[in-house]
Amino acid sequence: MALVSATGPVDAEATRRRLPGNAATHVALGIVAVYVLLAVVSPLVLGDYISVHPATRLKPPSATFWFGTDQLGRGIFERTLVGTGNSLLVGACVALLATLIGGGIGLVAGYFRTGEWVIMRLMDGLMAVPSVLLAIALASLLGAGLTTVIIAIAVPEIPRMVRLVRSVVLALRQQPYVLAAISIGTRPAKILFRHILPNAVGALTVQATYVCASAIITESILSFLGIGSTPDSPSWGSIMAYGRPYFQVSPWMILFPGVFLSVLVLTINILGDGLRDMLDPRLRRGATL
Amino acid sequence: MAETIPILEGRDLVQHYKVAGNRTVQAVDGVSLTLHEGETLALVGESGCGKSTLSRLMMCLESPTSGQVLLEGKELTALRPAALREHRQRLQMVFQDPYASLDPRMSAVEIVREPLDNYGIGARQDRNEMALSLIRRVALSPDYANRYPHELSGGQRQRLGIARALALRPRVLIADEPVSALDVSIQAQVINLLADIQAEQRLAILFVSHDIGIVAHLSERVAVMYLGRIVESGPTAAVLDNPRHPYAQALLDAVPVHHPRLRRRRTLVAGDLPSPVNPPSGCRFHPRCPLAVERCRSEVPALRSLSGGRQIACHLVSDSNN
Repeated sequence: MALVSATGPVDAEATRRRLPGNAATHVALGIVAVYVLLAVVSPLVLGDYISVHPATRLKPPSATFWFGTDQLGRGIFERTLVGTGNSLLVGACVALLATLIGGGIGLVAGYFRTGEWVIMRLMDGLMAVPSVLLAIALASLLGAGLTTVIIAIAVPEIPRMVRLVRSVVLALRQQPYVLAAISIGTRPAKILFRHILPNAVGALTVQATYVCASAIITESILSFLGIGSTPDSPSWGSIMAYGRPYFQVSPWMILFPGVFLSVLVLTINILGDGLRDMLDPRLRRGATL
Repeated sequence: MAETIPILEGRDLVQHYKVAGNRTVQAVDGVSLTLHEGETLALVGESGCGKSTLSRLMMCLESPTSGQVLLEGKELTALRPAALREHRQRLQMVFQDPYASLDPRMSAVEIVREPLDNYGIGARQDRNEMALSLIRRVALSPDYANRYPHELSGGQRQRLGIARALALRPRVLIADEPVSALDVSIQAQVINLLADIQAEQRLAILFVSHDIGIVAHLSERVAVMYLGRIVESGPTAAVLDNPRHPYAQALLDAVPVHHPRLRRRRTLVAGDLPSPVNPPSGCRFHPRCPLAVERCRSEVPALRSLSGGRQIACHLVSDSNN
């Protein structure tokens, strides 16, 4: 889900069939699919992950508590798995917002160059806003919650996307095939969507996946600081925050959500590189021969 | 021929680019060109002399610093982009780099179809067939229709570029070094294709090249360019047989001759092409000219008409010492 939303409608199955090689990308796709499955299924099938059980607090991993329990006796396994949804949702939404808004502004600023200077200075200003501070400010304004977190992370990511897309577009608009399109009478809007955008998709995809990965990390940081999600919707960051004082006696509280977080971020980054190759006909071997 | 309205005309075209340090590159500096119906005019000159800039100006792909471009008497340089678009159908271009001028994400048939879609030529469902017949016209197999540019050879790519330029049935074709990126063995195919199409469609071609051999084969008139200005022009045979401008003489002497006994005494030009950022005063060729006199350093030679439809920009040449 994170992927599809970040890159537009990519038919994963069709893309895979066209590309026999690149095992790393396929493994990454598989891992992300597992994460998505966990995010969707675990809140439905797993037992109680909210109520407090003082009798079983801080238990190490066992057959009953696969990932151990926290200081309130709640299962880390259940809480980590349910937290997947939170992370994926934030990652996907931020990537989607940054790509649509940032990509749109970047395309227009780079191609039409109207108001470019004003836009870019505005973006420089936005970029100077740290997402953590923005989240704290927004949380006190709007109240803590998922929307606040998504907005707070997306706002500083948008200028990065604008800058990247603008620079890619500035390079592409000088390409001879764009001059050729002008000379065969292609209208500016069509040049933008038919020639510039498809050739910028590779860069957009890679940037979107990085945005997604870094948004997931930032979300964990915010939850760790207690600005993120509410206690009844567990997040990897808040699980780790609860585990911090007990790290020396019960490291599993930090270990399991930490591993889930690291693997997901790494996988998304690998996937970004692989998708760029898949989406480029020059790098897509055996395409339509 | 001179009395009829030229199909494409450039008047006093000047293109100066601002570069870092508040300097100006004088890429094209006062060039006038005329191209008549069905005629091939070759524009020759060494790398960096402004040929490509001039062809982009004539194509209205950039706006000149000053000067005008007229297509069939209509001034294109005064038009807004939307109005200019209506005239582009009659003026098409083949680009120097056949790979970079094709969108890597479009298949051959999509590339040729695009101009047809742009101007709504033919019924929507017929356009693929029209594109395929254009592909056949440039001697490409329709089997290649669904291939992407990176799956084609250089010659195939350039023929695809020609098919795209022909799709709108233009009156004028600007070919900016269309074969310089191709293997010698492929160049002839593409040149002959252009010549065939020209004969068939009475196309006027502005053929930009640094290859004198191709120019001799293809064009009726030739214009020799040096550092942003035209130094000599006239009928191809006359100019190539008896170049009058010292630069044109040196340029032609540099062409390899196919028989050792025919080898001429070479007039070699010393030094490199000066920078167009700070071009020489007077005649721009004077620092390299073996014949330069004091007047050449101070006074810019105007392009004067000689007999036989020739023009020359040199103080030292007059019609009398022909």
